[in-house]
Amino acid sequence: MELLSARGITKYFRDTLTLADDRVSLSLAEGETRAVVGENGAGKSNLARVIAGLVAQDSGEVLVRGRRVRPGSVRDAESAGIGFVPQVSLLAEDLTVAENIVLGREPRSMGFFLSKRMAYVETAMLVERFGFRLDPEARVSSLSAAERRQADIVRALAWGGEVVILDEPTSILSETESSGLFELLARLAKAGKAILLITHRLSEVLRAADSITVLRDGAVAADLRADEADEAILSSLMARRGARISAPRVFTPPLRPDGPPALELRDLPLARDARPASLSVRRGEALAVVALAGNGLGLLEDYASGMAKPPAGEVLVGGVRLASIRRGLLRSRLLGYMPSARERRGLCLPASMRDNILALRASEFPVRDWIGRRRRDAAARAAALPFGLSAQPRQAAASLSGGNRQRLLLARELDRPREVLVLAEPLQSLDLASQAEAAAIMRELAARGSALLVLLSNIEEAIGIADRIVALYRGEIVWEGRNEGASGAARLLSAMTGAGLGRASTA
Amino acid sequence: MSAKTPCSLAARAAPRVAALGAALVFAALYALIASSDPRAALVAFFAGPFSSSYSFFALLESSAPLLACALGACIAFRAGAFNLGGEGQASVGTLAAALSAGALGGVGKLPPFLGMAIAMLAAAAAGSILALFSAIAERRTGAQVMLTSFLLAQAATIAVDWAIGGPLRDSGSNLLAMPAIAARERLPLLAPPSPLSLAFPISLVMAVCAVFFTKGSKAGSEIRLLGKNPEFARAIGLSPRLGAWAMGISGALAGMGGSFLVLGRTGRAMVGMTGGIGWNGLAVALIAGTDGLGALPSALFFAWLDSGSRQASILADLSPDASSVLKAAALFLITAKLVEP
Repeated sequence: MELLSARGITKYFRDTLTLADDRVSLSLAEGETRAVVGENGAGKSNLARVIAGLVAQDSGEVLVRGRRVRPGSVRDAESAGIGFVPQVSLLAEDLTVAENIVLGREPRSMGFFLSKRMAYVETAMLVERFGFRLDPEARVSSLSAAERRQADIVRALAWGGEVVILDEPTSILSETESSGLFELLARLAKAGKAILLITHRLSEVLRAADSITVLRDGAVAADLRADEADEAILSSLMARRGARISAPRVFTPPLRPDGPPALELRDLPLARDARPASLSVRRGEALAVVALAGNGLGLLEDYASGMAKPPAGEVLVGGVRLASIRRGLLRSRLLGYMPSARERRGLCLPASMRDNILALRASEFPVRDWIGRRRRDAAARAAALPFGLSAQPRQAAASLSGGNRQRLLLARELDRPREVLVLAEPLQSLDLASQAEAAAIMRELAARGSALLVLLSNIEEAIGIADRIVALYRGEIVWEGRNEGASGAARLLSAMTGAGLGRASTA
Repeated sequence: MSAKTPCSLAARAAPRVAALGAALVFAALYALIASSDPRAALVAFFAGPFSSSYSFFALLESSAPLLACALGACIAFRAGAFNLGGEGQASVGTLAAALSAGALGGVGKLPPFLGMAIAMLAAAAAGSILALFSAIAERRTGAQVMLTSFLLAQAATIAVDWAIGGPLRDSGSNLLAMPAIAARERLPLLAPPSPLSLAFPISLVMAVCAVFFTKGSKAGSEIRLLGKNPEFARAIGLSPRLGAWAMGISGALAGMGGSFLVLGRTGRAMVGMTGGIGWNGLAVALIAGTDGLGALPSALFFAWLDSGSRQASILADLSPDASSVLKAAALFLITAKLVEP
C-alpha cells in the first residue's frame, strides 16, 4: 500500500531566482526503494529537504498514510515517520553513537537524569534488528566514513522509522563501503521500510532501486520501473540542454617539454610506520593517485599543494623546493590546486562568485570593488562561461549548488595551463556529462604541457583522466603503472584494498 | 540579488539607525526614572551638546580619538582578528607622543608641522608594535590574538600609568602628569577657545583612507577574504603575513587615537587619560560594521551621548554614568541582532 506521497511540490528561491522544484509528484509504497536522479541543480536535494520538512514548499503537499505533513516542520515529518540522512553527516563528534541517536529527545531516568543505559539499549536494538555493523558505545570521532553513514541511518530510523530519505549517501564512501551500504538498505526495505534515494550515480540506482524518478530542470522528466531502465536511457532523460563545459580558449604557448620533472615528491611519509612515498610527474603527463579514504591521500594533497610542510622528505616544483617559492607567485603562476575540502579550502563561501573566481588574478585587477567593479564582473562572467557555471558575479558562493561550486573551482584553476596542477577529487558533485567534459579539459591541459597530479578515490575517474596510475594503501605505494583502461581496474582495486599484500611487506 | 550583496547604503544604515534611536528612547526613560526634573535633564541631555558652539566643537574634538580607535578595531575585525587591545595601544600611543613631542621641544628650529607629524607617527608605531606582538605570537605559537592583545594591553596600560605618574612626572605640578608639551608641537586649535583641534579633521581623513583601504584596495579585499576564511586565504596563496599587517595597522590607528588626546585638548600625558576610548572604539566598530563606513556617524553618536550626559549632570541631576548605560544599550541592540543588521 502507499506509504508516502508527494503531490505537486513546487519551490522557488527568490535569492537566486531559481525554480528548484516545479510540480514534482512521487509516491512510495512499503518496502519500496525509489531513486530520484538528475543532474546537478535538477532539484533532487531540494525535493528531499521538502519531504523531510527542512524546507517549506511554496505549494504542493506531502502525505504519509494519507495524513498531511505540515510544510517546513521537521518535527511533524518525523512524527509522521520520515527520517532524513543528510549528504553531510551532522553527528556530534564528541558524543557516542547512542548519545547521538537520542540527542534531542534523551530518555530520562527519574524525569531528569540522562539515562545512557536506555540510550544504549534503544540503539543496540535498532542495530541488532537491521544488522548494522556499529558499536553503540563508540565515539563518533573514531568512526570511519561508512560507520558514520550507518549511524546517520540509525538516527533516521530512530526518529522517523517508516521512510528513510538519503541524500547522496555514497558521496563520501569508497566503492566497497557503498556496496555494504546498499546491502543494508536492501535489508531495511525487506523489513517494510520505504527508502528514497537521492543520487546522481546511475550504477547505484540500477543496482538498488525498484523505481526511478528522473528530474530535469526541477520537473519530473520520467517515472519508471528500474527493470525498464538502463544507464543510457537514464542519462538521456537527465541531460539538460545548454550549460556545457568547454575547453578554455586562451592558451599560452606550450611549456618546455624537457628539463627536470615538473613536480617531484621525495620520500614523503604518508602514514605512521609506512615506507616514505616518492613520485614524480613530467610535463605533459597526468598521474592519478588512487586510494581509499584514510590511506594517505589527504596528506599527499597537503604536501603536494604546499598547504602543509612534510616532516621529512621534500617537494620540488620545476626542480625548486616548493617551500622556497613565494606563495602568491606559486599559486597565481605555477601551481593550480583544487582541494578536496571544497567548502573549507577551495571557496570563500560568504564572498561573491566574482571574488572567488578571480582570486588568483588579483594582479590583473589592482584596484578593487568601487573602481573597476563592472570590469571585474565582466571578467568573472567571462571566466565562468566556458565552464558552464551559471551564476551572477555578485551572488555569494554559498548560494551556489554543489555542482556549480565545483565548476567555479574548475574555472579558476583550469583556465590556463599552469606548470603543475594538483587536483584532489576534481570531478566531485559533477553530473556524468560534466565529468566527461572536465576530464577532457584535464587531458587537454596535459597535452599543452602541464603536469597533472590527480588524487582520486574512484578508479573509473582515474582511468578516464590519467596516463599513469599509482595506488596507495596505508600510506605506501603498492602499485604503479600505465593506465591500461578498464582492463586494469580489477588489479587496481585489489591493490587499493590491500589484497595480496603480505604482512611482511610493511617491514 | 543575493542576501550577501551590500545592497544600498540606506538598507545597511536602517537597522543601525533604529538601534541608536532605541538607545535614545532608553535615554529618555532613564532620565524620567533617575532625575527629579526629567524635563530639564532631557533638554540638557539632547540639546546641551548643541546649545553653544563651544560644546558642539568639544563634542567633535572628543570624537576624534574614538574614531581612530574604532577604525583600528574595524580593520582587525575585517581580518578576522578580535583586537581587544585598543585601550593599551592608545595608551602607549599617548606616552610615545608625549615623549617624542617633549624631546623635539628641545631641538627647536623644526618646521611647525613636522614635530606634530613625528609625534603622531611615534604614537602610531608604539601602538602598532604592541599589536604586532599578538599577531606574531599567534603565528608562532597559535596563542589567540583575542587573549594576548587584551592581556598585553592591560599590562601596557599599567606600565604607561606608572611611567607617567612616576619617573616621567612633572615635579612642578600637582597633576599626575608629564610636563606640558610646547605649543609648537601641539595640534593647533581651530576655533579657540573651544578645544576643537586639528585632530578632528585628521581623524576624518583617516576615516576616508580606512574606508578606501578596506573597500577599494587590493590588500583590503585580501584582508576580507582572510577574515572570512583563513584556510581559503592560505590555499589561494595570500601572504601569510597579511593578518599581521592588519593587526599592525589596527594598533597604529589606536596609537594615533592616543596621540590626539595628548597633542590635542590636554597638551600633556596624564595618568589614566585614555579613559576607555579603546573599549568604546571597539563598541563603535561593532555598531559601524567592519568596512569602516559607519564609523564616523557611530563615533559622533557616542561622543554625543558622552557630552549629553555630562551636560545633564551639570545642568540637571542626572548621573554622568548615564552615557555608559546608553552606550551599552545601543551595543546590546546591535550585537544581539534584535534589530537585524
